[in-house]
Amino acid sequence: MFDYSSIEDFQLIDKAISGDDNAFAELVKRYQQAIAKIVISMLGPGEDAQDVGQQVFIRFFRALEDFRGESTVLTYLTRIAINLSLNELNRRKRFFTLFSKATEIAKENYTMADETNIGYDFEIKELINNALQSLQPKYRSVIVLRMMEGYTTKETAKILNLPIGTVLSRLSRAQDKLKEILEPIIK
Amino acid sequence: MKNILKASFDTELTPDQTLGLNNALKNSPELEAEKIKLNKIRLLMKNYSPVFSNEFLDQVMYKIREERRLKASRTLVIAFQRIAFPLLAAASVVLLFSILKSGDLSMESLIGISSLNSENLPHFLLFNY
Repeated sequence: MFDYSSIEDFQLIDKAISGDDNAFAELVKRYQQAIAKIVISMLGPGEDAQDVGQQVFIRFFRALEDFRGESTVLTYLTRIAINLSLNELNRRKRFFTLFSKATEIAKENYTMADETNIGYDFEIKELINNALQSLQPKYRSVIVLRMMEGYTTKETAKILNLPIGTVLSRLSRAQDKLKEILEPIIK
Repeated sequence: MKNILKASFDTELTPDQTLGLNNALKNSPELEAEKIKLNKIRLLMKNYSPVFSNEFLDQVMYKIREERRLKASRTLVIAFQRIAFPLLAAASVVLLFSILKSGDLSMESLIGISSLNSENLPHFLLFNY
């Protein structure tokens, strides 16, 4: 059995282009955790997040031949994940006039999607998820990229196609809101 | 000073701002407590690691195989279009030419032997064939 785990991303991409499904599966394995973090943080846990997560990799697969390696695979996937998540949030907005309703649904789906993630206190996770879902999408996206994925402010600005100043001001406002909601566990 | 403290996590401060912030942190327990809170928020966010379901990989790969099948059938359709349409066009031109030349649509006229009869068959075979 061929060991794909030691192969570089660009080699896996070449193999995937020439029809090797195992090579593409290795790319999915490598990046699904990071994409889950982005998509679930943006949308809340549930079926929608799973679907958008799958769409991220399908879009990537369709664009394999156009991928020129100007950014890393992770950054490329992150960009797709953020865009698809924002699209999904816009779609939801048409159905849910009040944001709290979407949050309620996210809460209902929470248990199901998180069964596999043992070892991190459930209540803390719920609180963090609620805090994230209470932010407007434009604030949530900067928090996800900067604080959760660890991109620099400059990289965050580039991915979101925003000026650095805008990213900084959004981070500042989002932190205030997070501090307010997370107060019970950070005091 | 709180704004500078918040900004210090995400951008490089000027030497003056850094100095001012460090002094303020030493002299203000409130600001120091604020820094601890902001650090905790960042740590919580960093450690928040939701995951997809266990079937995620299989579901993605199933859809990828579907994509490949779809792509292959699309390639076949495109190849067919590229070959079939020019052939059809060429056949139509030949047919039209034949109709215009002979004035009828009989099989003989289509294959170009409308004037053939048994008397001039040797001539046709010798000079035209």
